[in-house]
Amino acid sequence: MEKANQKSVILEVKNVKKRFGGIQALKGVSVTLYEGEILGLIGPNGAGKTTLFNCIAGVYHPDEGEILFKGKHIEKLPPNRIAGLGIARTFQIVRPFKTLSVIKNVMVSLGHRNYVGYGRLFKRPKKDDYERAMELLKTVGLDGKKDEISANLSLGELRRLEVARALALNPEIILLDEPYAGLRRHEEGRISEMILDLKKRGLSIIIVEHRVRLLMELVERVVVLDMGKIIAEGSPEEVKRNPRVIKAYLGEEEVA
Amino acid sequence: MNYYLTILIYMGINSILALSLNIIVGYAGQISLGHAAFYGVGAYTSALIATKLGVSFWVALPAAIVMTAFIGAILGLPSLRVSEDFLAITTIGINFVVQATFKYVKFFGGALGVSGIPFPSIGHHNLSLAEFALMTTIFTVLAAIITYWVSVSWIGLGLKAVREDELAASSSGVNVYKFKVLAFIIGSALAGLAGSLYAHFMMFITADDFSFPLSITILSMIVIGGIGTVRGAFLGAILLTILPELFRPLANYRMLVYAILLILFMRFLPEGLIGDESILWKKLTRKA
Amino acid sequence: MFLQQVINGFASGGIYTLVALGLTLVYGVLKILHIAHAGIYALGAYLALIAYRIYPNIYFAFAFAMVGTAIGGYLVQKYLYWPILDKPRIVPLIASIGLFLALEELYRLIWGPYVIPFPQKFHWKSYNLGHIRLPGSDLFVFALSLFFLFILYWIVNRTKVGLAMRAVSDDKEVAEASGIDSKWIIALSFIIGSALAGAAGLMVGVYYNSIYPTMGDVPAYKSLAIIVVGGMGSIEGTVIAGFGLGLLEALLIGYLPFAFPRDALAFIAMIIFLLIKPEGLFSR
Repeated sequence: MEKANQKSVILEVKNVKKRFGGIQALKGVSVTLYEGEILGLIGPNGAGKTTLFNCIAGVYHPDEGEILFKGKHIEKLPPNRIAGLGIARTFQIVRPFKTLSVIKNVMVSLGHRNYVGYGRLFKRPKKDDYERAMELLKTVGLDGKKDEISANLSLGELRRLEVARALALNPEIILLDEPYAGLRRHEEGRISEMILDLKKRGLSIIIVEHRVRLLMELVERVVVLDMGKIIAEGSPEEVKRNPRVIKAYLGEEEVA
Repeated sequence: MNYYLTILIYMGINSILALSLNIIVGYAGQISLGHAAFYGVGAYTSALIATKLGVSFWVALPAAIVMTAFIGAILGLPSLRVSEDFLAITTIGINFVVQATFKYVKFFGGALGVSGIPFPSIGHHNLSLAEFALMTTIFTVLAAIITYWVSVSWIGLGLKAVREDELAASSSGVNVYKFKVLAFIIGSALAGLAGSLYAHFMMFITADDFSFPLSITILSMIVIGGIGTVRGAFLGAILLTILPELFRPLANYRMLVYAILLILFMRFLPEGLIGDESILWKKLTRKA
Repeated sequence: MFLQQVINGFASGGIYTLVALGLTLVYGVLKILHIAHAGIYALGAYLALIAYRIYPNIYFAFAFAMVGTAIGGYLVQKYLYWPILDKPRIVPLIASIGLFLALEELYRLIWGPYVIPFPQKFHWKSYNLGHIRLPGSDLFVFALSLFFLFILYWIVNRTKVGLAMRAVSDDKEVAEASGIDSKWIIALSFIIGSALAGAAGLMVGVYYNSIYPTMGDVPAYKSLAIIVVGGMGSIEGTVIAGFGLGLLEALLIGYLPFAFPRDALAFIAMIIFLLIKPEGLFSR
């Protein structure tokens, strides 16, 4: 906490509420992300983690509350504007552009500046763009599969492709929605390495994860969400011992 | 000779239609079953201003393109509100409503249609059939270049992203609404071009020329050829222009054979003849 | 006058509903727009014709038409739709339209392009309720529609098969995981839906005393509008939208200041409705 406090705030979620029909998915959530940190967002199933992500990313607009990115209000912006500002995301259930090749998947994001206005829409991608896309594929270790149709990739590869796609937006914040879900142990390690590498590049990261165990070595700070409310905040160790957290996870297979 | 020139002109017009629908369905992935409506808007705009205002084909044609692009933008709006199968049915509905409007509103000539549409001329020289065929071919090539360019530029990439996954596309910075409407605008504008050519070639049009079955035929062209590709749209348009002619000797069984072919194609060659995923195309590109 | 229009609206609404329910059932389990369904509906009318030539009895005709269309529906899903389910959505859609065209052409080639009157003349009595005259033909169609709706309601809500149908249409994977044979349930949905369409085809043949190859055109497009308004796959929504459309038409046609075709009217109503409520009456 102290270490984080010395740094400046990059994203501020203030008292965000979101209701779907009769269900109050978020009951006034406030979260702060500091520049260059990795923040863990955990909680049992249905706690509202993905809803909060979708509010930050502009997929949903909060009913109440504010979201500030570097002091600028973004809670009413559409996803493409938020992506353009520099907040990139991945999806819990991977969403590749299935029939497009791996490199084209990255190119889509890489072109985000060209989609604004009309002047550059009808220009063709240049050699630089391809080189930049290859660089990003190298970062996530997919350069060998650049011409493969993305539908043919394994789940682990698709998760890395999504990260490459997110990086192509040249973001300052990256939101990772359960990057470990459905992966095997050796693939988990690979994702962790990649996330630490992102941090080294100066990115601020929020990771949604169901299990605290995976975040232990990765994050300094964890926020615990349950039933649409924040019930604990602190280091992974502190949070793990917190009785409220243990109670929230009661009946689920694991906390740690 | 005149017969072959006429077929060539139909091929050109159908190719433009297939190429234009390809932008909406093939690139942007918006299932449109009402493309004949846009074709009709182009034909009627061109026909009406040529007959009522007495302007020449060369004025009527761009006016038809602009008008159809505009109507395309408006009729494309449902694609922002409804999704997939809803859109398919809505576009069928649009086709019926547009056709009925032409047929039942006096301004559009009613059941009699519009006649006396001038054949294109340059100065005092009326174009010959061969010249009209040449002009149509030039427009067809132009349409092919435009759709090819759309497919390889940033807009094409964005459209294909929208087709594959709207949420992921918007998270990649693609303004999904804008891209969908753009697809409808470009696709309709080209359909308007085809409509204008048709009106001034036939010199007489009725609402029934732009009915729902035609929309299906245009859609079949791009699916049979190979959806999302320029070459596929071309091949499909050429095939579906020639096939009915070849089937003429079958007389009474013509439609049945056509319908059965359509079913067999969908059942056994859904990737199209030379689509990206078709066996034929994969073999061809492997050798090259 | 007004009430008579209402009764007329209920009669045609009943038929629309029966046809559209088949589409709804199919859409529910397969997520396919089964446009050829209207071809099955016309098949019902022609099968009734054959039945009458074998043995002129209305009950036999019903049984013959419904069994025949049920078999037809089963074959369509098995040999046409099943193999192309994983293809892009346009593929089964075009295949379905192709089949619809092919069926209409077949009817034309077999039975000729002209209108065939129904072989038995029914002498409808009219019933008087105060000064309202209730035409027997309207009552017949309306009562039969209600009868079939009730049977469907009973199957879907009160039987194990119906429960399985709802489960498959909610979520196929979950249904399969809980031991439901989804392949059989999908076939069954086609069988039931097609039998309903067959019955509707016969009823229309009797009601208008005319059977012709393209008689499926108008119901085809109308039932599409109905299932959209009903919310794509919702049975309750389909029933409300089907009767709603019948009533709307019967009431509007009499009072419209200009001539406008009925099918375009259905689509205008649908488009206006969609702009207000894009997800339909009962979205799923």
